[in-house]
Amino acid sequence: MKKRPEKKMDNDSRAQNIEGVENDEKESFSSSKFEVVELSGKQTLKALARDIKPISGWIALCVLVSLVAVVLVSLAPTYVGNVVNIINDYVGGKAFDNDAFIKQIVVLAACYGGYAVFSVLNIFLMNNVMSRHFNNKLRIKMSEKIMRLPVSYIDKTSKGELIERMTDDVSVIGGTVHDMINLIVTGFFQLVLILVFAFMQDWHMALVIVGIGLVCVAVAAIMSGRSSKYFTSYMSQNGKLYSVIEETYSGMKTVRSYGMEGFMRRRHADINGRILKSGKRGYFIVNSMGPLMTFITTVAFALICLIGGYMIIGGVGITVGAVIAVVLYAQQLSSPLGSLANSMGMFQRAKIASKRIYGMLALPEIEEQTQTAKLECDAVEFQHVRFGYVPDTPVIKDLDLRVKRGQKIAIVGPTGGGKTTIVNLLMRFYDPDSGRILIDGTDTKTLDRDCVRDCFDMVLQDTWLFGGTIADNVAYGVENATREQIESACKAAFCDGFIATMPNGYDTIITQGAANISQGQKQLLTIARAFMANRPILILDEATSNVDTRTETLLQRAMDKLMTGRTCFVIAHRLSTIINADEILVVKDGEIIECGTHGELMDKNGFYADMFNSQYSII
Amino acid sequence: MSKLSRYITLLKPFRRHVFGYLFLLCCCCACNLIQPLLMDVAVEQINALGANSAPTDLMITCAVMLGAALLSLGFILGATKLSAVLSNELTAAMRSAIFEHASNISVADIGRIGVAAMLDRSTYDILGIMDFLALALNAAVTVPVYIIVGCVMAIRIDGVLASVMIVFIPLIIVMIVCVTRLVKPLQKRSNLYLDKQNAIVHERLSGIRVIRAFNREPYEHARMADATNVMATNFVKTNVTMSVMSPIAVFIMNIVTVLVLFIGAKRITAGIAVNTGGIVQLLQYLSMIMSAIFTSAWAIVQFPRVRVSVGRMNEVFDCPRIERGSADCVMDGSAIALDVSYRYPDSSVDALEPVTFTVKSGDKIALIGGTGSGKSTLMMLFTGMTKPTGGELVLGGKSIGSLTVDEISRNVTTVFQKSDFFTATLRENIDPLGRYTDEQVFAALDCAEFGEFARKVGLDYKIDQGGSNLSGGQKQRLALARAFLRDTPIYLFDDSFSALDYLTEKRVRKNMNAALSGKTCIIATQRVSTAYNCDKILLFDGGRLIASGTHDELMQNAVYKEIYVSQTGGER
Repeated sequence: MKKRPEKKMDNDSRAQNIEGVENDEKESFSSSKFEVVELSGKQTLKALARDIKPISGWIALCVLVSLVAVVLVSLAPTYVGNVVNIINDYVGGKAFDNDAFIKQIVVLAACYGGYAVFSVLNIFLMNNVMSRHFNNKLRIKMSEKIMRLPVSYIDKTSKGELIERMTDDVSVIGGTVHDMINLIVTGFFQLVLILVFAFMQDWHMALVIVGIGLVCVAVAAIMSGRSSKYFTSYMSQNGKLYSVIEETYSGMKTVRSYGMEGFMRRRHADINGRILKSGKRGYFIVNSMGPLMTFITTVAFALICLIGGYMIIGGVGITVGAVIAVVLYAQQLSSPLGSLANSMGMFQRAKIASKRIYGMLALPEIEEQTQTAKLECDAVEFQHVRFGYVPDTPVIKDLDLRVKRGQKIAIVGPTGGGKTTIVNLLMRFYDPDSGRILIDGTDTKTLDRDCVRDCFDMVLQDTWLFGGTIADNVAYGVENATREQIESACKAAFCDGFIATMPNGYDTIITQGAANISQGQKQLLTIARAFMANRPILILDEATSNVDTRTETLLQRAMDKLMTGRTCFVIAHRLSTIINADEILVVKDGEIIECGTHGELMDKNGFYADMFNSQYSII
Repeated sequence: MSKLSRYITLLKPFRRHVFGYLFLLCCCCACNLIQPLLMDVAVEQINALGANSAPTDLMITCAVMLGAALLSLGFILGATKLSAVLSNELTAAMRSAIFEHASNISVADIGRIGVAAMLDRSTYDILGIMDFLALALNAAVTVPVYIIVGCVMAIRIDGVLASVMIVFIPLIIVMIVCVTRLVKPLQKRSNLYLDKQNAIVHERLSGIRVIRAFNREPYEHARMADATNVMATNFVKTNVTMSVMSPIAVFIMNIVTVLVLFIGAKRITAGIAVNTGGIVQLLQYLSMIMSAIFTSAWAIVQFPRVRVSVGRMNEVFDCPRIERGSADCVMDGSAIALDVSYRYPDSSVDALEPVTFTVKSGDKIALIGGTGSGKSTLMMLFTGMTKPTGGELVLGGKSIGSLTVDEISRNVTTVFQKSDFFTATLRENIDPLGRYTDEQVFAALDCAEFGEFARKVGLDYKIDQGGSNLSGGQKQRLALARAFLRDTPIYLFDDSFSALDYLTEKRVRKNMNAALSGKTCIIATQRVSTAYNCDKILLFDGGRLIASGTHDELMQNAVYKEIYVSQTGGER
């Protein structure tokens, strides 16, 4: 349904592939997963203007260059006319003025040549300014913003969506600014030229041109308003279709083994039919715009002919030449009006894109505390901590906990009981709703996040490795690590063995998604990373659950070694791994319902004992 | 492009639309060609006007002009309507066609192409092809009409001048083709850098905790900024190359204008018959031809992209369809593996070395082992969606290779390690065809220890995409309920209890033993507690079956004992 761009003015080549409909498909598909601050049109425009300001000098230069080009190209017809006049004079019986002829031809060629040079210059300038100084800066700004966004926001945001916004929306805005400048310079210049000339000739006929122009704008506005209804439905249905297709393909195993093909095909056909319906109507309206403009221009032409004709007959003192001149200018009206109509849709899209991007840039950021402290991490304390991801549904209700240096604290309990939340709070990925978390007696909320985080080594269930070498991944977070340090960390985590079998050893690049190493190996590498960073407090969140049982035995020994002298928080499903903990906290429904050593808890014969026994009980 | 015919056949039901569209467009072209002539007439009539003369002629001309314009508008609106119907119907037909085909190719093929790529092929690529088709249909009428009419008229005025003009047409086309060739690799590289930047952002967002923990945000930001800078540089290169085409083409056209003027003047002064009006008209035809060339240029520029899209879609259409049918054949629950082995396509070692064992109907079998032990590979083979690379798997007395997908699905219920859920109600997710009563659905949910939640939220509870509004444990329980609802001789559980805590797992297994008594169950697990009570335990390690027997028998095995000790802490 999208109107095909007549010129390839989009700033980024990819924007051509994914602009328009496709772009908006995704928007509606996951709008719920990408929340932004709702900005008013004025605020958005203000923010956009702020970003355009630094490049205003460049833009002025671009405008100047394209103005020169437009002037040169508008001069050309005059010289064509001059040449024709010289020939006409010869035909009329005068002598052929060869010098004047050559002169006019040369000037004409120079105009054309100059136009070509300035057009190319304009393209070069515009692309550089927009891609390098606008799109690029905006993307970097978004990247900076990500740095300051709370983890809670990233958690609930669709990654794909955010990436799309960073690439497509930015391209759309950049492309539109680019197009608008060209449009304003060429279109408006042309329009103004026509109007000025028409008014100079005769104001009656000029008013007709103004009237027709207004009619065109009104028609364009009404049409785009009418089509937007179909567009909106088309886009939202496209988003739905997209998600049906995505889940069918990604869940094909389930679809097939549960005989769900028919169900899925029905859903697909249903949405496809609705897209068809709104698509047909929307497409028709959008594509009727051009022909309507042409028609209106023809009407204008005929009107001016008639009015001019009657004025000549009425003898109001207008010359035939003047009427013809205005008539000829009216013929040229369709080109600027057409591009004006085209720009409507473009502008609409850019408006949506800017709202999203500047809405994202306006999101509340994490509060930075500047107070830093070198924490010894002798004691960690939770005081009446209450926290919930969603207001009024606390995951942790009233947590009190004191941990001394070197203690090994195990947190166990059923899924959803709030175990991982404790890690989120300790690391300050989230802050408690009430209560305090103290390290060495200082409320961590008052400290710079980074100095709090410097206390912790962390190995999580979800392994995270980036697309770099194994060595770089292990040394992540440690500046200037030597190869010896890396190797000894890997040895400690028992991953030296499999690294040695990799084609390039420590320099093996971990590919996207780390497909070239197994889940267990990935986990080993993150454990090596913890060895490497060597910080006073260790957090293990189900760290061993993805390592196969046999490696786990070795790992357990290595981890025991690592744990000595460190304060440890261990979260585990498999209770056998935490038997040696100094204190076991049983967390259920946001509260510590039992605590003590393994022996004490088993003697108590409560929830923990029940859980522990269930691991080995026979049905 | 040889397989473009596949898409042309989709046009067949819309033959009448296509011809109607082409016809209306021709009519419209004719109306438009009359218009300049009428305008010339009008101008001349104004020229001839004097005070007090009657403007009847002018009025008639204007009326004709308006009539022609109205007619043209009618034709073009009709054509637009037809093209709206045509392109949308075709897009819809194509979407259905590829979705239907994709639903019938093997899971391995989908995996090979990749879900994201399949998705692109089912959405964007279609739109690209349709855009091109609409453009090509339009160009098929306007380009030849304008070029032929333009050339004929030009030759009628002056053969020599016309030939000057015509000589340059191929030059412009060659230039366009060259630029397109030049742009293609640039575009490819630009997309590569774009993917790279996206990959970095994706990595950064998914690793947010680790990055923040190590205070590496500035570093990640710098990486991203670098990638963006490189990308911008490439975009500029690509876009400049692409955009420069148009001023160059215009420049060539302008050179022709100058040449026509120059040669025309020389010919007139030399006394060869051509008048100034002819030269002016010739220039008008030149611009008409140019606009036609620009229309086709856009099509030519799009062509490489369309060819890529067609190639990508063919990739899907070329995947063979899987066998379907006889969904009502019910088999017994026995399973035999005869030297079954599996090797991944690009690997040089077996992921599963040849293994032989027998499962009697109604047996409960556990496959135990760590990651990479080969148990999940074996489970995958049992689903029939992946064929073993060696040996034979026999289900219910029939070789799995001879069974269709529907036959397997009728007889085998699989709960996958990662369960898939769909944007639909809770009920539709477990009973998509609406075959079971509410009582049956709740019984299955209860069996999976999910009944309490389901009663709280109701069966019409909306599940978000991928089940994102459910926790890991809830998803696993819902997947189990979906399996318990079915009645098949064989059940496969691939690490299906891993997200449940031990207490819940214990209860679920107890329910399950009652619900699935007499059914064959094959359970892959890492937990000894899950395997403990099975009729037979197969112990896998490093892609090999290293031991089998009951729990007590296997306690003699060092590897099994090690697993047992590590999970129980050596007590008991």
